[in-house]
Amino acid sequence: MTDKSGQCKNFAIYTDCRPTPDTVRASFGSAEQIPTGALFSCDTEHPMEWTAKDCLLQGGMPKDSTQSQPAVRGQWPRTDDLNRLKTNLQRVYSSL
Amino acid sequence: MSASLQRASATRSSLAVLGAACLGLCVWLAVRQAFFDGGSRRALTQLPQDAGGGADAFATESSEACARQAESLCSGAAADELTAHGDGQAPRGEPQELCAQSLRTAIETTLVSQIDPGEFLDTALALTRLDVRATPIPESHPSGALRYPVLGTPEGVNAELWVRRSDNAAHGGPVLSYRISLPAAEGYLMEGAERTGLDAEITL
Repeated sequence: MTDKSGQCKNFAIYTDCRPTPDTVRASFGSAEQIPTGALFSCDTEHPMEWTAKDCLLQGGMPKDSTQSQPAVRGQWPRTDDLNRLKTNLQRVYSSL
Repeated sequence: MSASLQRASATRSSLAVLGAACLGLCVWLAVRQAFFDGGSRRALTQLPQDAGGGADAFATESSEACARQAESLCSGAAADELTAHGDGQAPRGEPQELCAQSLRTAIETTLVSQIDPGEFLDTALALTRLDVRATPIPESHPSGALRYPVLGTPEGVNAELWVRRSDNAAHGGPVLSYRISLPAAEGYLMEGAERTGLDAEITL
């Protein structure tokens, strides 16, 4: 997300590993937690400080875990590439 | 008598000269033919080699082009170079299967509280190089997002550009996201549960 000056403020990634309907049905009434995905977010001014919320399925219902700090893998931070993505996204949006 | 002898001698001389000339001509023709044949053979034997060399060069060039395309679609550095030299419009193409596979791995890894943000960033950068349908999907979405299909994604990868209004007054402009879906052909087991596919949403 960007602020009013157009600066990137936040980079967020949401993932979902969709369970099959049978898996969801089988989880009804069960206390077992099935991980389905996660929501990651970082302030672009502090790109190493990621937060994560795990998304779970418990008793057939979605449930979010408490916020945690995930392990960050790969080459990071990439500030120039984030700015490039912002520029490219704006170009795509303006072409609509 | 002497006159007839002189004529006979002159005739022999003429014949000798003519014979020598013919012999010289034959030798010259033989040498020329031999040279020509050799040259032709050389040309014929070289042609396939040249063609083969050309094919090899083409194959090498093609693989390099594929590598360049993959790099341009999957590498921010290459995109930077293209942007720097062009009008900001990088060449259109498909994200490589390798990128889809990498994204699949990156999504699955998030189930164990690990994040590879660069992989998602590369995916989003690759998607910005693809065209987006000008009209949104007519069906409304609970999130209120306008969803524009991304065109030209490889088989097995669906992507949409989501445009949402932000609730936060501090934000400027709409919130733009790429929503990527990797449906599975059949259910598969992961982290103790059977899955039908993977989704990722990348928001900047």
